[in-house]
Amino acid sequence: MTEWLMEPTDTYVRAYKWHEKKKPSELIAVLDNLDRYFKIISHGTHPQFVVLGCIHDEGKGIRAIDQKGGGKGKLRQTRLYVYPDIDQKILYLITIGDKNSQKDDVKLSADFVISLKGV
Amino acid sequence: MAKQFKNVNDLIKGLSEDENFKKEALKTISENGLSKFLSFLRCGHQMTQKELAEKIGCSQGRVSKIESAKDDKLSIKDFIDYGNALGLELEIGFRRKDMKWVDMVKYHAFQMQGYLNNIVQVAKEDEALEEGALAFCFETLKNVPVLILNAMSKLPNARFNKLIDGSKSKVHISGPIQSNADENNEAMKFV
Repeated sequence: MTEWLMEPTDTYVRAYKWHEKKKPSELIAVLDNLDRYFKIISHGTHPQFVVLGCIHDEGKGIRAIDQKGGGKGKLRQTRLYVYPDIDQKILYLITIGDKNSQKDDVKLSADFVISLKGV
Repeated sequence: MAKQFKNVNDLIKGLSEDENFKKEALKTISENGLSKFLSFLRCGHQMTQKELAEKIGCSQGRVSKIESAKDDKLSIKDFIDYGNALGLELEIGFRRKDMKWVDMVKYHAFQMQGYLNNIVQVAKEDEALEEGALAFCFETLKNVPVLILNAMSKLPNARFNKLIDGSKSKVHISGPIQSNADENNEAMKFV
């Protein structure tokens, strides 16, 4: 059985480094929820059956993982956009954003999936 | 090829520049492994938090709270409730912190032997059951070596071939860490 792997995009890496400096608590919270999501799919649950309060469908198979329940304290809304490629067993980490960048982040994620899968 | 990561811990170690951030993130993620496991069980049964809450007889908010709780805030009752709701029996075990993967393989081999003995014991004095037990033992005999060979085949070819050649002259089986799996692993089950 092939293992699931995570692959961050360049945009994600830049967003990660920015959040590490400016919003570390929010980043830890979304990483905590990413860990939850990734462990569930790694143990064989189909990504579409992962129903968690911190996960939102954004169309085209894209899912946004927010900060709710993860980390500690009161946190600003932060979303990590991922795309689970079921055929390749790769979870693409597309970008991280907040409420203000939500529209652009969803568009960027959709464009990423189109360029990846051609759909 | 873009860099890939096997888990979130590796991702954090690979991308973080600030040592304090790295330390805090790894600590936070390690604090709720059990509640993540409960989320995994529920999702594996294709159940929403609301559906599980109905089965347990509590609010959806309570399920959400359980699944985001730190491990030291969970109670045995939470696990019993999840087990009952999902049709699972609760087993609790301990193992020594210094146990290696090879010890785990040996432990499970002895466990398997115990289960096979149980099957054979139950099948005695009943022809139909005996036949079934024998068929299952043969099935196990066929499947277990396949699992081992599958693992071995992931080794680089040269090394794998060398191992196979070497095994022609003698077969070496290392001993278990002690003679009895239950005694040595402290992985006792409490049902």
